[in-house]
Amino acid sequence: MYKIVADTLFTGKKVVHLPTCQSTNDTAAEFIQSGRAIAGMVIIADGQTKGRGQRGNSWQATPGLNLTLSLIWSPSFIGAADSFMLNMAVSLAIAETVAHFLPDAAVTVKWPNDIYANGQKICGTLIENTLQGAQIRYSIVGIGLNVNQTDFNGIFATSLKLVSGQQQSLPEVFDFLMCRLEKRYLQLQTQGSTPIRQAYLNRLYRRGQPATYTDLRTDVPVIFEGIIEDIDTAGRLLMRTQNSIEIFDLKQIQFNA
Amino acid sequence: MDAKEIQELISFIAGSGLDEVSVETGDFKLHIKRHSEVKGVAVAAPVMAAPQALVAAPVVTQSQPVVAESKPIETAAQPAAESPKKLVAIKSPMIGTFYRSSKPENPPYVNVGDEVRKGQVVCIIEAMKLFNEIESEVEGRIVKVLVDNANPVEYDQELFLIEPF
Repeated sequence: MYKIVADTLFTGKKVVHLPTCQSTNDTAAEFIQSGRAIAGMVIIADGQTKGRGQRGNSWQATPGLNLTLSLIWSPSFIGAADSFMLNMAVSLAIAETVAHFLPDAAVTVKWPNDIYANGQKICGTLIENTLQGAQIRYSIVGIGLNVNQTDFNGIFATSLKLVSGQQQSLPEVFDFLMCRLEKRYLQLQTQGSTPIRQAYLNRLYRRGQPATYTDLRTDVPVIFEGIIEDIDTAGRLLMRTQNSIEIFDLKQIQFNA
Repeated sequence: MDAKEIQELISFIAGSGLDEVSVETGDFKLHIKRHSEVKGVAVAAPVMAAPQALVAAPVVTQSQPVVAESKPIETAAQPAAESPKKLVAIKSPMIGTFYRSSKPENPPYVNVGDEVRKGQVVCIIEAMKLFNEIESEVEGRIVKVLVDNANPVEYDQELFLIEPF
């Protein structure tokens, strides 16, 4: 069903298609450990029995309806301290893919790396790196993109089909996604992070708009109004508040509805 | 601007007789200053010290303001003060959260007393939903785990002390 991607240099040139597996990221890690991984290789599964979001959060997908895959890259040109660049490039490529299939929708990246269509989550990513000293040896880019699923059991999520009203071809979405991912990856390699960073900021959900957040840095959470201004090199959020610009790490802030 | 260009710039300023120069573009800000008390004689000092600091982190500095004069002091002072002799520290290559196991339900990668090989995964640092497996660069025995599970860590913070074989 998934053919080798034609329009890329190395991404998606080797595709391992499994009817089911525990988690495509775990399978990709096994390929790396056993020395069978090559850069650009993709593990794709129709269904996952133990799909993972970040740190143990489970990820629900109905078999055969969505894209659940892991891509292996070897970005040795990225230093460990700059690994957020990779996050930006991947988020951007997915957002561009979603926007291509949903030309009328507002497609944004919710910091740091969820993709939203019309304000609802449509794709999650889980990137796992193997570091050797201060260099990245392998990156496993896990992507779960909701394509044809329409029932999310009350979870606040959406899919390409729910937004567009049309059934989408999984191989077509897959091909487009691989091309965008490789394009942004090569751009990162040849031009550095500046263009990626700018495009990422342009896609950032709620950037420049006053909105309500919860500050989780203190024992008692504080609700406040702020405006997302920027991100720093480490990927932390720079938020304009009443009197100053404050920096938030991932677990220090919550987006309120 | 890369490290070589910065070095060239510093050499140029050193030979120019200028005391202080600021360069600012969209991407970076560079401020170079000589020791002001010893005007004219101090050419050698900034030329030696500044390139070292800049070469150490050429990629990172692009989007951050660079203060050339503050760095060499930090790096020179650190090694002497910290871990006792013989022991080698595994340090965090980034800001993030330290995890001792691959998943919450799994046992720690390593415990005190364990022998580790070069390339063996010893922990995970999570930074912005990116999970980074940290490999040991030395062979030896874990003497101390310096950070508690799920705690935040800074760039270059020591995570483990290892007695090398």
